Amino acid sequence: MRRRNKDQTLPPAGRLWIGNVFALYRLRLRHRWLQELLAVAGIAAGVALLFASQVAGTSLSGPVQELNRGLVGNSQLQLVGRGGEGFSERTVKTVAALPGVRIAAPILQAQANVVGPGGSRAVTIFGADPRTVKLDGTLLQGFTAQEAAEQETLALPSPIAADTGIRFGDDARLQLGGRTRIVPAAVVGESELGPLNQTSIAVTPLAYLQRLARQPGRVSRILVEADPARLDEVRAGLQRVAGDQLDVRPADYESQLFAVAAQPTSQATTISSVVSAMVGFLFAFCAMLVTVASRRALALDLRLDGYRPSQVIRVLLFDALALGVVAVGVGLALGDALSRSGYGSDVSFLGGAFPLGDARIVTWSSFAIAAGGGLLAAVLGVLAPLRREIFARTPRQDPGGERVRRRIAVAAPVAGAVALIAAVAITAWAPGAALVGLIALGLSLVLLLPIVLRGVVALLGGISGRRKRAIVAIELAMPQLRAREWHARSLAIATTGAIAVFGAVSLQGARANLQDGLDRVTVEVSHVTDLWVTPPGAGDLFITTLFTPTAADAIAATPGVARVERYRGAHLDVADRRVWVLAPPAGAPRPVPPGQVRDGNVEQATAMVRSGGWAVLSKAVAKGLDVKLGDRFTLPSPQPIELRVAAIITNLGWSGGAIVMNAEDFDRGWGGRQAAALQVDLEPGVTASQGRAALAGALGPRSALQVETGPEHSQRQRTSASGGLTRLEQIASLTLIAAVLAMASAMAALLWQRRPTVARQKLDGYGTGAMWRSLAVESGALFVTGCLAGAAFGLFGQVLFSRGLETISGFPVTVTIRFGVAAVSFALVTAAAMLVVAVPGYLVARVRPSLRTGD
Amino acid sequence: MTVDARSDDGAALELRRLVKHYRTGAETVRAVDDVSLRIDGGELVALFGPSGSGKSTLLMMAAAVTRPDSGSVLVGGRDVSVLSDREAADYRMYELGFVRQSIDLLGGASALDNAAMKLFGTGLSAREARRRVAPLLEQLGLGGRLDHRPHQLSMGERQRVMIARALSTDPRVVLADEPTGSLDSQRKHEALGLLRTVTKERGIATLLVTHDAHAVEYADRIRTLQDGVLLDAEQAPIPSHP
Repeated sequence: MRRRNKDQTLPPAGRLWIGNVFALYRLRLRHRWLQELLAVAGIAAGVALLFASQVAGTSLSGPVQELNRGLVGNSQLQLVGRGGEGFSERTVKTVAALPGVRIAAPILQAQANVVGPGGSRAVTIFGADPRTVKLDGTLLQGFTAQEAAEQETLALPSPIAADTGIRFGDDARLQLGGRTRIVPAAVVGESELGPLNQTSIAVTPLAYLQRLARQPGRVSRILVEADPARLDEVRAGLQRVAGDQLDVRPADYESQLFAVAAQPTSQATTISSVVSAMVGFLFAFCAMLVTVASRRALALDLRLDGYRPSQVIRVLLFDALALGVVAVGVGLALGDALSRSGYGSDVSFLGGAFPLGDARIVTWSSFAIAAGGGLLAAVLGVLAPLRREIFARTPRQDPGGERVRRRIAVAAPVAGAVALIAAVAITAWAPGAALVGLIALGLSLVLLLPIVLRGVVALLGGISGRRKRAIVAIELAMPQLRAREWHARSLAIATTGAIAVFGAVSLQGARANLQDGLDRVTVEVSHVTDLWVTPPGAGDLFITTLFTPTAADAIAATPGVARVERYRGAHLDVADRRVWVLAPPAGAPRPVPPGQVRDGNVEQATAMVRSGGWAVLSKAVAKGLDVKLGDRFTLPSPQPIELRVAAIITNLGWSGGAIVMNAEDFDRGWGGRQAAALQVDLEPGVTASQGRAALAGALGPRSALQVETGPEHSQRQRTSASGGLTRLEQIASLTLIAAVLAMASAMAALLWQRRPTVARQKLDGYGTGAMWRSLAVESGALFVTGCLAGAAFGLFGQVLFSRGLETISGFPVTVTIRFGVAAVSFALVTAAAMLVVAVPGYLVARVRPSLRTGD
Repeated sequence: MTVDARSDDGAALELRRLVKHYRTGAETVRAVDDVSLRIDGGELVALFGPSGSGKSTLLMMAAAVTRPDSGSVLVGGRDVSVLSDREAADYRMYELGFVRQSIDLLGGASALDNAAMKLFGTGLSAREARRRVAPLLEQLGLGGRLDHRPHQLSMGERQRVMIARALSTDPRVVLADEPTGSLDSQRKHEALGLLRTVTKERGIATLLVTHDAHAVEYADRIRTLQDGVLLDAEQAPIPSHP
């Protein structure tokens, strides 16, 4: 056996070919593919949650931004009519004549309902002309100037045409302004509309829409493309033209208004994204911990063989990246499927004020955040538990590390207590910082959980110790629960459950509180009459589409009808918010919803509003106008009117805020006798369904008005509001499912590695049943501790989240602690996780007695 | 016997007055207490001792994994106990072979890959590492089993793979930590015989830490460690076969 000769000299140390790293990975993969698969599944689930959550966020405002960009093209400014009212088309010539104006393009915009053989869809119709085409927006990219001017058809996006069963060239029924029109339809697709094909719009020539809407010579806004060097000059000129009845706004103003209106939803998206990220990360981290034991052995082995720390890191980093890349790929695919299957925010309740769409907007940042999070979890999951094995000169003995651990053991609870105090302070004095409070609360939970876990273990020991006969299952489980080698993993399992249940209980509780508040608004605002008669379409939910109520007399003459009154409502841009303005009829018993008053006296406010010249405002609107109780302000309605603040109310469920005023004041402001709905009260003894049937007969089959009972309209509003809260429900459910899978898989893997220990313990005479019970006690202690702590903190989270929601958004929220939600989440997650680990636990308990060494 | 020039300059491995104490709470454990031991090239020294006697600590200090409180570990006259982490790693890579129990083999890797694993870290390509280690496995009697995985090998064969891995970088010192722990009596003889053969033929200084009484037959010298103190042959009972 000879030594190697000179030509076999070894290269200098330090290099490690990527091929060798790959070889080391491949060799190990063969024997632990199941563990790796589990880790991949864990990271993939986390990435999927994170990605779907990000896509839901970007898709929220994406369609509105796309639509606005597509419409305004190169224009920078616009002159806009107020409160849904148009203005004279002659203004276009005045604007075009302003120095510095390159193009002045008129647009008429109308809410309508398109009806075909397959159903109906609410749309926003844009009436454009050749000047609009010249702005080069994508909305009209497929149209020539001549088509825009002359082709008297309704251009419908293909998804809407498919929904309504309308084909190219068919006649469509268009319900517009309380009347039905038959119009020829042209179906257009992606090539004409680009991404706007997914939005709820329709396009038609301006002059044609003016005829259809009976608004001859009227436009909603004028888009202005100015010479960039003379923008200020053009703005000043537009201000002069606008006077006090029109507004000059930036071209992207619609997107800005939508951002404000969608703020509560986007905040809920942010909070759920944070919870998703935390759970996803913990899920992935738990999954990586499954493979720690084999990597630890490898790191020790390589260090003994003379591998440098940098080389060991390269070997482990390759592990992490290989795992991470595969898992991120799978996770992104899963997340994509999740986001396509409806995981997202339903903002259809905003449809009356903004043209919306179903477009799913996926940005690079969504990819980057989800992929980065997954890779980070993989890298941390691989490297963090092996710091000692990689870097310590003496990997097996680490007195310095012990000192650090002791310091952390003291500092963590102190930091946890500080975070808890901060969360309490935010709840009490600054609920507007709810997101920070929730993060502080989550952090506090994570930092205090080790103490809670130690307490539970001590309690278990005490229970067994006080009995005359020790409880074998507890006595066998106790050393494992106390063992330092399993501590990180045990804590990670309990933390996953804690964070998931905490997040789910907070979200579900806040959702239930908000739903209660919205239900109350529905009762106070919508459930006030026997029948509602409204023009159908997106604006009928909050009753904001104004029409001329020519059918009022016919309705009043219908047998069984006791009284018909005009109900006024509109959306109006006030202080950079799209506000819901409502004016109940003069005879309404409670014009000011009593349960919604937050500042002021209900009776006084009601009397003031009835007397005229007073209004009640949402807090956000009052803040935007910089007014308080008793202050005067000018409402920027089509005919500006002066009002005083009678009381501050919630936003009545409309995120932009609400103003309630006297009917006569509304008529002054809007300069006419239009209505958004007719309120119909029936004679005693006439049921709502009888009344509805009678009204339908009186209106006739060609009527473009719909009749709903009070409860039906309330229910539709409730359903729409629930849709807006779907996201919170979805994230809570997915979080709990993810937690069950994460905890159960990590626990199963932990138990599986216990087989040698169990085999040795069985040599002492313990049976399979005793071992199984001990493993169940160990699993149960971790699951129960984590989930119970999470549920307890979740109850606090409900209050914090609900108060934050009320303060930030002005939504009506009933702040109630919902113990049932906490109990159900705790019980479901704990029971499901216990069930999942029961089988692997039994298989581990069945191991044959043996002297095998090493876990 | 072929011995390279390195072993001619005195002892290949010399432990000089090594001391290592550990503190556990208020108590100080004297794991290794003033131990000196010299092993020449081509010499196999068996170190006996009960559990907790300090054998593993001594081994870790010889491997430059644990730093002694005092004393030195001389390899070819160079004190490896004062090396930086990187230098210590290089020492283990090129001058030291560490033989441990065969349960440390990677289950998914062939005998050839398991034996080449250390060479992967030297900067050789994986292919070259395998090419270089293959003759070594053949010399150890595993020529026909290069592609076999650990579960397809006998316990004795697995131990030979571990020995091949330790010898793969042609070390001047071999430290063997209970290499026969999982072997039956016949395989123990085979493994110990093999260790003695390579020690002699390659001029390696081998320190064998063991409980196994069979080692007495193969060692050039026997020493015993008790409570951290190295006893002379006269002071310690020579282990006998069970």
